[in-house]
Amino acid sequence: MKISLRTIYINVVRFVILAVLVFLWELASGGIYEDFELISPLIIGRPSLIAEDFIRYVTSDLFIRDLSATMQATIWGLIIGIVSGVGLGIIFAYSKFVEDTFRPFVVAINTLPRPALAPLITIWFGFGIISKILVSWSIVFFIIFFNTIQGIKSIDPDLIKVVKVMGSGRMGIIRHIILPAIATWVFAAFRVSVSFALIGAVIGEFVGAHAGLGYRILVASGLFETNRVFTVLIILMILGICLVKFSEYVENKVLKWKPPTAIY
Amino acid sequence: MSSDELDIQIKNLDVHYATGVHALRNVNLELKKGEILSILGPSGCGKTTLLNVTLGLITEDMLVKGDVIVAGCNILKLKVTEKINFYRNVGIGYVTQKDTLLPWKTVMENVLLASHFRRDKNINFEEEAKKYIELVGLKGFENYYPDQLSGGMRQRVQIARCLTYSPRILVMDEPFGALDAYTRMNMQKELTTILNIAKKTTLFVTHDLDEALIIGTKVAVMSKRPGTIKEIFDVDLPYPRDPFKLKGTSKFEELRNMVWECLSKEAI
Repeated sequence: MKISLRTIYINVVRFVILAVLVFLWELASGGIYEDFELISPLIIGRPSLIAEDFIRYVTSDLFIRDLSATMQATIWGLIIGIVSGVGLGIIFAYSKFVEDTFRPFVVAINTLPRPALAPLITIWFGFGIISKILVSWSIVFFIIFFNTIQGIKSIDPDLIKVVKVMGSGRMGIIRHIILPAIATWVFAAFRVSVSFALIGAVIGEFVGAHAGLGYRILVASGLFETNRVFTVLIILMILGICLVKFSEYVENKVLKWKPPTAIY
Repeated sequence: MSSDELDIQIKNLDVHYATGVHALRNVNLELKKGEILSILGPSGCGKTTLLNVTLGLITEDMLVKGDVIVAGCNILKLKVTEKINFYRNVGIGYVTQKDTLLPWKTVMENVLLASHFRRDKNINFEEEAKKYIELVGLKGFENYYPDQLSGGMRQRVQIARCLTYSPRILVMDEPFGALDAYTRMNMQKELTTILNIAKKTTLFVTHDLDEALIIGTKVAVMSKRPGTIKEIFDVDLPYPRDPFKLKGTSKFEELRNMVWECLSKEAI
């Protein structure tokens, strides 16, 4: 692969900006000269201490427990959100009665900021994984649900006419037109949903949990362990990037006919 | 004329929409096997409605009276499953103005689409697909997706798609309406060449007078809404036709003036 001069230049500039920021942060928190401490590391943390803590945390059993709890909630929230969003989206798009009856309820629930539901869900389902999955699901579901409806409604009626005239029955129309059309919209939503599923799981852990990355942030901030908070934030960032890259990979593999997708 | 020779026979057709619009009034039309009928008319006169009814694509908001006999079968009287079998047995090719290729399928997959619904052992779909892709000049593009093709190429794929399953009747609704003038004339030339080889009974809707004369062996002029067939002209010009050579010839101009005289009275 040929790397252009411009790419090298941009990467060098990025590295320099990051290095300068980290240096200034280390300097301001008294990491270079103890006498020159503008803000206490208790408040803003210190890069060198965050690096030490990062290694300590990711090599501990605690990390495996936290990561496992957050990932389980994220993945189950995502899976259940996709399955229920697609299923109910299809029912809504094809049943005028269901749509007319339930539309006001769906719109009303969708306008609620879902994190506001997290305390209630925790009261109902406890501090275990179920409440985190449900918070995650409550965010993912609506994204997938509305995209599924949009996918079906965006199908050009002429496509169906042409295929009908060829001799296709209902199953042929579903297989060759409806499912691929939905897939396009659901995969577009999937990219967004993976990040939101993670957000939902972390919010659920904020409200009440025994383990998880969100729970670890809450505990660390309560104890003024700012370096640990930054450590977990960095892990969440890496996790988010991995999930988005995975969704891009899956989308590009499944929707081969679309130009490759890449988002930050 | 014996009804066996007729591929399409429309008798006393009246179509109203639930909105109160009277779209078609007492339409009578006969099309023999292999005939190519261009239908001309002012905007909103019911050309597309006429095609939809001929194809049996009746929606809930349409009130249809009369008879539409296609390949000896009254398509308005068929139940859903009977209609599916009718489409499978008779074979009707339908090309629209809009691009109706499935974007998630390659050119070859699009052209082979009908093979999933039709189980005609006499047709080797793969061979037919290759033949018609070559005939419309798209050999080498079999694995391209529609997004990677130009508008003209996509229209040609649509034509190849509906010829591949060897339909008895072709129905085309302004297939070249969205193309630029040069591509359009090229496509007209190619279509007449294809129709000359394939010998399909064809209904071709357009609102371009020249196009109607280039494609059709007959031209029907419709009145303004509620549309009816006002007059049918025979286009006695050799087939296949080349619009680049045909336009400007005395015979073409004479026909053009005759049809225009009839059509202009209907124009708003």
